[in-house]
Amino acid sequence: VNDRSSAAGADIEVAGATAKIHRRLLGKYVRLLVAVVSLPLLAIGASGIWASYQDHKSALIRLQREQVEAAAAKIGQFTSEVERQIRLVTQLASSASTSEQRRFELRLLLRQVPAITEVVQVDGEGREQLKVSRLAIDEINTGTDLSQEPKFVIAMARKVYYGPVYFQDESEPYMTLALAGPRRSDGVVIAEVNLKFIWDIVSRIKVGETGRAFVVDADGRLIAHPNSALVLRNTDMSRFPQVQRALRGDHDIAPEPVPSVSDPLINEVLTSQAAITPPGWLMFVELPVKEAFAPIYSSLLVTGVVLFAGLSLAVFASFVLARMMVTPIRALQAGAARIGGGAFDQRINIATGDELEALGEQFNSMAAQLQQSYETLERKVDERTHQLKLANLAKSRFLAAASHDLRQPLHALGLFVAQLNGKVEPVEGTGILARINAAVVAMNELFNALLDISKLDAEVVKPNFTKFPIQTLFRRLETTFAEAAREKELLLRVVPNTAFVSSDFILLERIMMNLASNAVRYTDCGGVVIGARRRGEILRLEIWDSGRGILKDQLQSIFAEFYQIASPQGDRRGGLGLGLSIVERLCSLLDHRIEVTSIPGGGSRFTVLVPLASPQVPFLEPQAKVPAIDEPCRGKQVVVIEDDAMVLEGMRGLLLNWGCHVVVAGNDHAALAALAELRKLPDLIISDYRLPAGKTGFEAIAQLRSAFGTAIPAFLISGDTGPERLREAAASGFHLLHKPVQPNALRAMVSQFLKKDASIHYDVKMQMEVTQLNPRPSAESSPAPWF
Amino acid sequence: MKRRAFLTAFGSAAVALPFAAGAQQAARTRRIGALMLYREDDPEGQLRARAFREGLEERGWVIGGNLQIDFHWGVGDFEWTSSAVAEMLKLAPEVLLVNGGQAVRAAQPASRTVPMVFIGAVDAVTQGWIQSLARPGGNMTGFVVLPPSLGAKWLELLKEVAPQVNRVAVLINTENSSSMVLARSAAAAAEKLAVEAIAVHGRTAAEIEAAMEMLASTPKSGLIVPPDPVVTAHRKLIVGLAARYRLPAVYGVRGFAADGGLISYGANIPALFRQAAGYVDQILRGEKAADLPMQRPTTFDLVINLRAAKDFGIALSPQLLALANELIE
Repeated sequence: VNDRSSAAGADIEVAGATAKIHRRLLGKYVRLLVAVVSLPLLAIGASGIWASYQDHKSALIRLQREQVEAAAAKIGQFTSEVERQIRLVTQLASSASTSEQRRFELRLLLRQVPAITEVVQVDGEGREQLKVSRLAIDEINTGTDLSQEPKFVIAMARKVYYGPVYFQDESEPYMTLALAGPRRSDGVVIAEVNLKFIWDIVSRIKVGETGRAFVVDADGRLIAHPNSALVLRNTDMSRFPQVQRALRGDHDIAPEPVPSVSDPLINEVLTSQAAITPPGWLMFVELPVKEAFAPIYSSLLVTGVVLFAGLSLAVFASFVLARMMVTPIRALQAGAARIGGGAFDQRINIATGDELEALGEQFNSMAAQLQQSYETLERKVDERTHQLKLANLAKSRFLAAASHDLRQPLHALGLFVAQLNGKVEPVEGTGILARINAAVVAMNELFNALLDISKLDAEVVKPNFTKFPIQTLFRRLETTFAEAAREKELLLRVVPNTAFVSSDFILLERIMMNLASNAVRYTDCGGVVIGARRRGEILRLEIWDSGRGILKDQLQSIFAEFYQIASPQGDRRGGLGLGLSIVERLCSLLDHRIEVTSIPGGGSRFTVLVPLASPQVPFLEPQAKVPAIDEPCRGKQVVVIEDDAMVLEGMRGLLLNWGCHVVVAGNDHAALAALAELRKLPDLIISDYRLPAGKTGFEAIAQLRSAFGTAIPAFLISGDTGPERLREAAASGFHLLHKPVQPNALRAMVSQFLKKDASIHYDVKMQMEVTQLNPRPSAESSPAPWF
Repeated sequence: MKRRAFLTAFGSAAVALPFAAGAQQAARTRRIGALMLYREDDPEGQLRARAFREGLEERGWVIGGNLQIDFHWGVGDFEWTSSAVAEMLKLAPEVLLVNGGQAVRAAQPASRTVPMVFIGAVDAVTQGWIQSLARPGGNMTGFVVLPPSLGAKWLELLKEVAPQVNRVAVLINTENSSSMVLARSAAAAAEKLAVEAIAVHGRTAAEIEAAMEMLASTPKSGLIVPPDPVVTAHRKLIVGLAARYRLPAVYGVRGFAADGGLISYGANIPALFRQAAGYVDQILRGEKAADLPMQRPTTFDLVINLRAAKDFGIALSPQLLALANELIE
């Protein structure tokens, strides 16, 4: 249906445009959707991670605090237990009478407390009484003086003495624990405690997987550590910042990770510490940051993976969603572009079930509407073209008919002229002249009728609405047709009426005259009745006849040009067939409806519907102004410019007959030359409208006027009845007579112009009136050459 | 493209965790040697070996998995021990565990590079095998089974159980210098406790029988048996002869009491093997033997065999029974 290549081109263009836009819109949607989904996701993820990090950290701190305090409590429990066992012994030992019994008690102490390697009983004076060892031979009553030893002095003074940690053989950590008995004479029990036993406790303390618990003494020396080698090497821990801080008395958890005490390879540990009383040691717990935060890292990884998955999903979903949104929009755009390009049969197919689909449907209905409008338009154009063709055809028919009707009188004329050539007898000649005149009148009527149709078609005639009594018009009708009716022995009855109507008097009269004329013409017996009836605001002007009537199927055709209902006799004498055409055109000009009803063989009724008007007083009946024929022409200089030599000669003869001096010329230059020769100012210029060399009558008149420097009276004669010409002439302001001009009409015009009194307005319409008001040529009109 | 990247990331994350965890264990199998100086069917030797294995397993090793232990069982003299050490070194162990003074003496010159963890050798410092207890300094470190003073302590214990004894024989393996040290310690305390102390050879059954016969022939004799793998290997013979000759005896190894010996007092040797496993672990993990301090035992158990006491006709004081860590019916 469409031009393929151009449609394809449009497609490519559309595709290119949409691809660009599509990408942009898609990207926009994707970015927007991703942002909408991802930012909250990221925010939630990040805040979740942060919250769980904080939770985990505080939980870690709490846990470590608990661990270190539990561990410190365990060590404290150990030392307290040792102290309690020794205190028990001090009490029992004091009550034991014999040294053997005391020895047993001390050995039992060793049995009970494996950490004690050696225990010494000292009396109140500081003398060693009994020494029981796990490894060496027991000694009794050695009497070694310990009275100056701090362990004795302090224990005596404070009942309890916790000695500093020392390393036996520079290897094993030991502590001296001394307790005084309840009474001073009970003396003191001094025990050497092997602190390697704290290892057991310390190594049993689980601090995560790789964490460590360890104990340092008040000087920062390592006492217990799961890696006993570190302890046995007598390691000084005070160089580590966390130990230093703890030794200063700051027992809060270290806020920042510090290097590990246990493993030089571990740079970062979380550490906390607690004091172990009574010995005054410090318990430490340390956990590598790596392990401490491993759950966080793994949860971070999980969160990250989930987040990444979520983001990927979001991006994917966004893409899909955006595509879902963009694809129908794109289809809409492409479809709209194609519809815009003229492909009205294009339909957009979107099945999204939402507003976009509705929009697509609207586009489709719009396209359908457009298509329909377009088709209607095309059909109208076709119709109009067809009508024009018909009109053209009608015109041709019209011209053919006109030319036929013109041939008839011409043919008659030829025959009469031939008779005149042979016969010179006055009686016969007069009869022939009368017939010639009748033929000329017939032709004149025909031309005038044609001219009227032309004028009406050219819309040159402008109706002049006035209000007047219909009786005026009826009276004139009666006057006009009384004679004709009488001649045909018909009854003419005009029913008087008092109504006023609103119309153009002259044109309405013309309508009625034509209708009445027809009625009289086509009625052979009976009569014609003219009357009016009121019907609301309308006055129906009716003309009844008892004529032949019109067949129903011919009712529409009677208004066509040159239409005559075939008479049984087949003669066309009665009329030209233009009357009803003019009537119809005038009615439509005046906006009066015309109706016709007819009974074939029984008569016809023509009705013109005219709006009623309120009565007007006074009403002046327009009068046909027929100029009095005096002698205004005599002695006047008239210039005639006309390129047709025959017409020129006819005009000259007539004007000379009327007593005028006449200068005739083929064009304005010739006229000027002739006038220059005569040395006379012309009184009137009559110019043909159309002159040689494309000149017009206006220009010729203007030329002469300017040559003589005065506005010489002038009018135009033209054989050209084209609507265009008529309009031009009306616009020029010059009066215009149409060929053929009847001599009396020409004389009236010339006389009027040559009279000094030029007040009588003589316009184109009047001319028409003059020629048409007489259905029959007046008897007194003299025969004149037809031109 | 994105989906593939995502899957890769997801998949690698899922795979990475178990892989990272398994990476350490999936590494090569580590190899160590253990020279036991016991017959393989000796329960005492098995006790020690089990403690050693368990000690390693407690520290995460999988024996037969990522760790292979080449046990070398057998009883012999110094030459035999030396050749056993040489054989073991041929297996290129990363760490060598040796047991008893004789083995330590045989192993010490065998290598300056292969780390060795020993159990025994109270005189390691005086022998010059290590520089100090705290920092051994060489390729050897280990655990002392007993302090030298324990020789005197046994003598004291023997006198407490059998006060009538005035002549005590210390049955030793002369190849084990530790035993010599302990014997000297006992001898040093003999005068104070009013006894005569002599050292007798106990490396072989013949020597043991001869020594026991000699003691049985002298009234008021007692017997002290310090820990030594070679001697311990003959503990049934010794315990049997002691019972037959009604010789009051104090042993340094619990296994004697368990097999009918009267009384034992000494360190828990299987516990030392367990601790030695800790040192082996540390060395396998990169620490140097030179930095690992030599350790001394902390726990000493007094084990009394009540049936033996009854058979011997010895009345043990309730105090002594109260002090015992273990009483064998």
